[in-house]
Parts: sequence; structure tokens; C-alpha cells
Amino acid sequence: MTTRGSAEARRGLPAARPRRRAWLGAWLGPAALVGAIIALWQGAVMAFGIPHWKLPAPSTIAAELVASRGLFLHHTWVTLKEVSLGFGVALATGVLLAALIAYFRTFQRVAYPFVIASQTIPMVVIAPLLLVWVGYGLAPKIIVIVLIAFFPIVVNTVDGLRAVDPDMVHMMRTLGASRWQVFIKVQVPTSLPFLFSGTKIAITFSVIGAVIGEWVGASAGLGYLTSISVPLFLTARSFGAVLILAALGTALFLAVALLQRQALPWHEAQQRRQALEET
Amino acid sequence: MPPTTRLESARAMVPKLELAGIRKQFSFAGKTLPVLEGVDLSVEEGEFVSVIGPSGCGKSTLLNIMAGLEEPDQGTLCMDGADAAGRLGKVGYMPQKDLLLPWRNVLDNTILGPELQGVSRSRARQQALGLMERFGLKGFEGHYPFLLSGGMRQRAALLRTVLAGRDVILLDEPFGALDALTRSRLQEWLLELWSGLGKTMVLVTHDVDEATLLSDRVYVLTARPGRVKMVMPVALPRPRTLDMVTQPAFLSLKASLMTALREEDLRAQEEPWR
Ligand SMILES: Nc1ncnc2c1ncn2[C@@H]1O[C@H](COP(=O)(O)OP(=O)(O)OP(=O)(O)O)[C@@H](O)[C@H]1O
Ligand SMILES: [Mg+2]
Repeated sequence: MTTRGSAEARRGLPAARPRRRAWLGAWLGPAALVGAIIALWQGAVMAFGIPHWKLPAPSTIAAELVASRGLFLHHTWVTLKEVSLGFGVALATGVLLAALIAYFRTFQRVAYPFVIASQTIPMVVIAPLLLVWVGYGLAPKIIVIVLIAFFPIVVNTVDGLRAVDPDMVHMMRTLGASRWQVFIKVQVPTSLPFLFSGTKIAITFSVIGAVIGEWVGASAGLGYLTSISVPLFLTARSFGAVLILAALGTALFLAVALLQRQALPWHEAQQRRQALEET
Repeated sequence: MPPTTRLESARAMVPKLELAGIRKQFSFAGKTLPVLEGVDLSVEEGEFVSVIGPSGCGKSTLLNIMAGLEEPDQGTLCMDGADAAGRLGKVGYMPQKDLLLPWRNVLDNTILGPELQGVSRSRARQQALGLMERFGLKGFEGHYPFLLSGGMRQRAALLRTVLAGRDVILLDEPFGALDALTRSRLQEWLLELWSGLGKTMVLVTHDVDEATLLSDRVYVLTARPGRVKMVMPVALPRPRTLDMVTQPAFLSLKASLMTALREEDLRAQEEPWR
């Protein structure tokens, strides 16, 4: 049977063959740039004799990453746990809020101002207060992440739910669709690419949120590790933790992008088609 | 003669769709724009009726009113002799844009009507698959809409409308965006389809050939505000074929439609404030 996303349906998409070479070209440039920066950095540290507690050379950071891998692994695991829990809650609340805002006019009027206002309160004010209210455990980190990450999800998803073609809604109405059916069968699918855009931002923000939460008060995690390493002049360790954080954020972002491509093949192919027509 | 036959013939006297004194105006930026000013129109069961008129005279508005997407400011609208207040969702409607859902493949687009009415997807798909060949979509059931040609998209949209199972189908310039060759091929195909389906159809078009070839009667609307300028019966024999368009009977019908349409188009040009 030809259900959505079946092999038969996917066979209908334009061939993606010439992409392998383009992929190589797209990554060669950035890789070369990163390589050059690392080489320059290494050269400068060695040439000017900069002490490692001021600015560690890339080789020193790499050595530290290998030497203390058990330590890094432990703290990475803690941060990853915070990020995935916090992001999960942010995604669930964000999507629910967006659906309620888009479906119920009254809910929009009541709730949307609060959603926006929540972003105007500086996190550096909230985070210490959270410590007072809920203590040092996992909870304050989760709350900080949710407060930062739910916003791009709500805003993007609300925009997506509203981005429907009114003619499409009319067409559905003439087929006998109820408002709820229009919502589920037209508005929700229309919003999915928007939801994914919001999610890409949110998952990156989640990593930042975890670091903020750990800086204010924690006993483990990569943010905590940087905060205790700097005063001890363990600068290479601090750099190593930051490097892992950056890799973590990038990997999570790419995972969402990959998931989007898998989940919305029609959107991906449609955009490719449009880009082709524009050239 | 058995009584049932008499009853049936009596019922056939009631028009399938009857509009009387339809008025509609739009308000925009403090100004009111009268679009329809007393339109009377009736369509018999199983009849094919076309509506032509200069651009902007209110053809789509009239069709939207028939579909139930708009309500008239004044006038009455009856279906099968009864007031048609709850007609939205009960009249088949094919808009000018195909409006296929980009995230559904062709098959799942065509079953939207039955699906919304609560028919199980697998049963609706079974029914749709049986019609794919007749709609020239065989082999494309699993394709996403953006991969289809314009003609195919329109046929898929029409299949979606037909599968919704309504007696009356309204078509708003269904072939307006297609090239001339594809258009005439689809006109011929629509002729054949209509005679097989036994549905009542109302077609809005700019194309005088199309109106003459397909219709039992053609309504010509005046320039905005739209009124019925003339109703022309098309007494050409059926089944009709595309090569009729060069026959004298066809050409004289077409000529009188053209004259009426030109007059109104000129009026619209001369009085652009209307
Ligand atoms: N919702 C609306 N609000 C305001 N004005 C409208 C609205 N819908 C239509 N109009 C106006 O009413 C007039 C008639 O529109 P309509 O689409 O019915 O014309 P039409 O005969 O179908 O034209 P065309 O042949 O170009 O499709 C136009 O001037 C249009 O701008
Ligand atoms: Mg129109």
C-alpha cells in the first residue's frame, strides 16, 4: 500500500545523486579553515612561549582530553542528561502551548503576553533564585533549560500553525471538514517545518541553559567543570570542557536536521525543486 | 404509467440548484463594492451549465456562494427545492488552484473527502485506486503533488472532488492555468467523464469554446456588478467531440457568446471605476 513515507512514495522524489560531491566541497572549506586556525594557534603559543595556564596550545588541550577522559566522560554524561531532560520538557510544553495559542483565541490573548514576558527576565537573575527555591539538584538546571528553550519552539510553531493557505482551508471546508479536522490535517502538517526550525534553535539553547544552570550552583557537569578549572589555573581542562560543549551542541543540531530530512521528505524535496526552478 | 414514474418526472421539474435575486457586496477600506446585483440562475439535475463573464465580474463569488463559502446579502438559494442553508460541505467544489496537500501523495490527496466523512482510509483508497486509470493517474498514486504536471494536478484535484461523492460539482476555471493543447485534451476528457458520472456541473470559465463545447446552457454575466446578461441554450447533439468546434452550428453559437462577452468587457474597460 502506498502510505506516506513508504518506499514507493520515496521513489517518486527527484534523484539526489550529484549531492555526494557537493557534500565533499561543502565540508572541505570549513575543515581547511579550522585546520589553519589550529596550526596558527599552535605556532603562536610555541613561538611566543605563552604559559599553558594562560593559553594552552591545541596539543596541550588534546593531551588533557586524553589524560582526563574518565573525568570528562563523567561530566559530559551529567550535562547530556540535563540537556535531554530539559529539552524534552521544553519541546512538550512548547508544542502544547503553541497548539493552544493557535487553536483558542482567548488562550492566545491570555497566555502569549506571558510567554513573551518570560524572555525579558534575565536568566542571571532567575538562576540564583531557583537555587534558593528548589535546591542544588537536577531541578534548577531543567527549569533554566526549559525557560530558555521553550520560547523558540512556541514562537515558530505558532507561526507555522498560522501559515496555512486560506484557500486550502476553504477547500477543506467544502469537503466537509470541521475546524478540528482542518487543524489536524492542514495546520499541523503545515507547521512541522517551522517546528523543526524552532527545535534546532531550542536544542542549541538547551546546551547554553545547562551551562548557566551549572555555573550558578552544581557539583557536576561540563559547565561546572569549566567554572572550577579556571580559578585553579587548569586552563587546558577548561578549554577541553568548552570544546566538548561545542561538539555536543553541534551534534544535537545536526541530529535534529537529519531527523527533519527523514520525517518530512516532501518538504526537503519541494525546497530542492523550488531552488532548482529559481536558477 | 406506474405512479412512481410520474412522481419522478414531477421531481425532475424541481431544479437541482436554484438561485434567485442573489446580491453580494464587499466592503473594503471603508468603500463598498457591489459585486453581484440580483443574479437568477437555475441548474437542472444532471445538467452542465457554464458561467462566463468579464474578469472581476463576480463569477468566483457566485460559485463561492453556491458552495456555501460565502453567504449572499440578499436572495434565496435552494437545492432540490429546499432552502440550502447548510450546504457547505454538501456541494462539490473544485477551485482554480488545485490545492493538493503537499505532504500527501496523490492517492491520499484524492481520498480526503471520504476520509473527512469518516470512511476508513483503506476502504477509501480501494475506491480511489479503481478510478486512477480513468483520471489518467495510474502509476502516479505514490507521487507527491509537486512532481506532477499541471494537467495531472488538475485531474487529481477533480478526482478528489468526485470522490467526495456530491451530486453537484462546481468548477472554477479548472483548466485556466494550462496550455492550450492540454486544456482541449482535458475538456474532451471532462465531457466523457461527465456523461459517465451523471453529476450536475457548474463551470466558471473565460474560454468561450470550452463553455460552448461542454454545456447544455451558458450564462453570460454583465461587467461588475454582475447580473445575468443572457442565457444561451447549446442545442448541439451529444456525445460531443473536439472536432465539433469547426462546425457552423458551433461557430454561430460561439459568435453570439463572443459578442455578448465583448460588449461587457468593453463596458468594464470604459468604466473602470465600477
Ligand atoms: N473577500 C473579498 N473582499 C473584498 N473584495 C472581494 C472579495 N472577494 C472578491 N472581491 C472582489 O469582488 C470582485 C469580483 O471577484 P471575483 O473573484 O468573484 O471575480 P471573477 O469574476 O471570478 O474574476 P476572475 O475572472 O478574474 O476570476 C473583484 O473585484 C474582487 O476584487
Ligand atoms: Mg474567479
